[in-house]
Amino acid sequence: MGRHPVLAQKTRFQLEMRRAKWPGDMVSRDRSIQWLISAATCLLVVTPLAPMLYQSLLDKPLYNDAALLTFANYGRLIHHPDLPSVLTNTLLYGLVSSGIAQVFGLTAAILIGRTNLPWRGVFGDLFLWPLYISGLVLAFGWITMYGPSGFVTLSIEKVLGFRPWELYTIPGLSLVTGVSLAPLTFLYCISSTRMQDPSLEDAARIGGAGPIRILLTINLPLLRPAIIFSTMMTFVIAIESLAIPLLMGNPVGLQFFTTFLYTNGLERGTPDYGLVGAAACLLLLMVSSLLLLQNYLLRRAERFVTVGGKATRPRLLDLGRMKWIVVALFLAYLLLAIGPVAFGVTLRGFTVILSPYVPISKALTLENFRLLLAHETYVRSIINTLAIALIGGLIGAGFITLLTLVIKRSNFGLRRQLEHVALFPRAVPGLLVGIGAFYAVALLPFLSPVRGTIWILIIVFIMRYIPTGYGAIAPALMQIGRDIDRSARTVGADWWSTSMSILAPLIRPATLACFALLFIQFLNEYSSAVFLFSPGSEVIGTTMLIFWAQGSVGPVAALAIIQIVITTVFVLVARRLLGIRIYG
Amino acid sequence: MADVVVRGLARRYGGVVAVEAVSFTVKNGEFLTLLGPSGCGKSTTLGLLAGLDRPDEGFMSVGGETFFDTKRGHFVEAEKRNLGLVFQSYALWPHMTVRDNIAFALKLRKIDRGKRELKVREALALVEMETYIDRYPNQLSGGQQQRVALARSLAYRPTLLLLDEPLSNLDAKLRDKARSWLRQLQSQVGITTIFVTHDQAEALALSDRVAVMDRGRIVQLGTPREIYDQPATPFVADFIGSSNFFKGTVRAISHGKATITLTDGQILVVPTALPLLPDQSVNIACRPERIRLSPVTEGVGENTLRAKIVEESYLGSRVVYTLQAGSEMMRVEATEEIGERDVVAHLPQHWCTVFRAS
Repeated sequence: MGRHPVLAQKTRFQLEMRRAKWPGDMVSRDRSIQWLISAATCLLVVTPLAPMLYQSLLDKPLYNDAALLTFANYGRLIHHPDLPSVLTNTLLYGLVSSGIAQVFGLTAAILIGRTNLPWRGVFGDLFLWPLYISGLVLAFGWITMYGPSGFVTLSIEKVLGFRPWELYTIPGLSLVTGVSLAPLTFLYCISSTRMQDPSLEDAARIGGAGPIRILLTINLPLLRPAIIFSTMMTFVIAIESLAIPLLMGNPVGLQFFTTFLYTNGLERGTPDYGLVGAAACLLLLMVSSLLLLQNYLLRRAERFVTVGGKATRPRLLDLGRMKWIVVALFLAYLLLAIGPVAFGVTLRGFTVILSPYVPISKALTLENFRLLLAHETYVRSIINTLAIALIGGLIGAGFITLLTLVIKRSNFGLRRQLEHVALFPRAVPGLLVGIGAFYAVALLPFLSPVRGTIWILIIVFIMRYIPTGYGAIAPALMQIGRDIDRSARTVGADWWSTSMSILAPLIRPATLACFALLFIQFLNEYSSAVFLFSPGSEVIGTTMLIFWAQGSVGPVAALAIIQIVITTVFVLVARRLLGIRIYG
Repeated sequence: MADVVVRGLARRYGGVVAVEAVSFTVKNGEFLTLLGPSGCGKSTTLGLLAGLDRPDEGFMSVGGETFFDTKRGHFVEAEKRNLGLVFQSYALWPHMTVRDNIAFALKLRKIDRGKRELKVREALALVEMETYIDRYPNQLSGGQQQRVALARSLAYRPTLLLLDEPLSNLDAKLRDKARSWLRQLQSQVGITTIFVTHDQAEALALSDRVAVMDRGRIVQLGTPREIYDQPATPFVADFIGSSNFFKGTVRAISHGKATITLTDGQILVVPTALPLLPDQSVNIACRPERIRLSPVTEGVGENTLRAKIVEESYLGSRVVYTLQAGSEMMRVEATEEIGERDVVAHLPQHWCTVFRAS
């Protein structure tokens, strides 16, 4: 037999190998790791939720040993004198905000995705910019410019003799929220507008339809799934937002669900634990049913999406003579949307006072920044925020990568259920995560070491943004062919070795993108922190909220500028230098 | 030694049967091919053998070591089976060089650095790819990737080599070359091999034995010659090569030969081992290249059908005729052209196979 000399001692080698220690011999390392990750995920998600439910059924604070089980809290909530107005305000606010976000976001998506609008690349970037800005800072910006004593409001009042508008009304609040959410609608719709099959438009054109008619009768109906999705999403985000209702609604006595929770849970001398627990559970129920409804609607709607397999480059609709009118309108919108932050907050940060009665040149100062750096709390909150964003982002990205590997690339029996658990935080408003974690820390002794430290914030922030991170990693993982890990398994690697040596390196860009997303979110997060921070563990968001309420507008504006600059620089560096695709 | 025994293998997805009652043995060093159209369950079977999927029923052992036995609830994970599997997509890890791709399995087996490098080079020498050791997969052609994938699967001396259509991504010329090279390599290494393909020419050329699969079952298992010349079912007769089928009725049986009347009244005599009864409906299969044509003027002999040429396509090395005999159409491959349109087709007895009509 002319056997190859290399393989002559085949048998000896095999015996040698059978004796060799296999990585999986210690009763499935894979399973232990998969259970560990699942347990950690469940703990993260359930820990803030279970105590909230428990508290809603107790007659006294949950750390009080004498507390008894009762349904009375729900009774008190239903009969609370404020509840009817809170519910109608929240509903109205959510609907109008989401409607405004749809109109602006959709228009921009069609203009940028489907027409020959000049400078659409730059316009697209500018349109998305508010997405990176905290809702708190957006609210500051609008108040500084269009609030009752805002710069623009007063300037017009000076001329006309009366106040041209009232920002602190439900339409006013909704406009601010709608404009801040329009970038989200834009993101959800832009890919659909770009993917549309151009032959559908050609057919309409041959039928004699003009560009506007094509937009209205062909493009818009095809966007229906994206519109449903973004309508529900922006509605949910609007009703669970805290900053705008708190800063603009509270001063005039407009109550919303989140501000109701905030004032009853934090601002009152003796917080009503039972009532807050019950209200939190009610809000959670509303939001999760909305998301269930969204899933249901989309399951059916997705069948209507026309996604051609061919990579056709859609022809752009010619705007013709309308082109420059559209450009002017777009610029006007950008001024409305970005102006408050870009000019309002920035100017306020560099002036003693921002008012049409005082020439800006006379008010210019660096005093706000000097104050900022002199005050321990300000400095500490900047350092804390950066630490949380960096450490939390790294831990979060690593953890979510592992979690995604278990869900998408293991034979772990409960991986479907694990995915549901991992995506559940999407249905939990930030404020509720904060309240829940606050209860959990009070109730569970093993959490006391993290109480009042930045670690509880890191844990809570990671929990909140598991779905965001998962959304960045799962698609990348699904694009890697199954054979890539199957081949590793057949050559002798267990799931863990395969994940670490083969899959994790291949999805490193997605893990980086996940880190970038978490970093930006953590930098701007405040709503889940308001119940959890204590002196020493402040973050930029909580500090801004507290000091704004105390009237230190100048330093808060300066702090906002620092937050915006850090975020913007990070986004630019991540996109340009590291090539990370943060959104889309 | 590394005899492979598979018994009663079954795999269902929901209510759909993917693989059912698959049993076979492969002798040490033998080359067995699972052949069938897409969706016949051959790749599912391979996945079950490799341990990438769990069987619902069945038993498998390699060289006396049981890999799974559903009756005893026994299952060995893929990574502990020490098998080699070459994927249709090659599945080389794109972030690793050729060296690292091959060394990965050796690292897992805790083989020290010096020995590892030696074994990587040996494996690459085997597939004549030593000079590409520092390349990344995307810097290699399809054929080169396939060789590296094979080296990766051989480097750690698996007990059994599984090949999942490894040649199907190569272009036609290269595929012919790779085929003979693969066969040579397999006999040189002497490794027991199970090969999956839908390409019958590949199966016939490479295999010691072929298992033809259809709808999740093995319908025939035999040497390439047996499969081709004595197809067990009409499916095999048509899938391997191609066959002409004629409908007919049994008129008489004697001495293992059936006399059969075709629908247009012409008669064929075919040897058969089937227990046929008179008046039973049957189908007769005969391969296009076994049929001989002669001009009608030369007279009508035994087992001949009168036919008319309806179409002729000239393929260079041979001519393919489409003929009409009564209501039946048939294809005939001839090496020489025939001048006339009215011909006599001779179907030699021993090249005809009878099947009961279903």
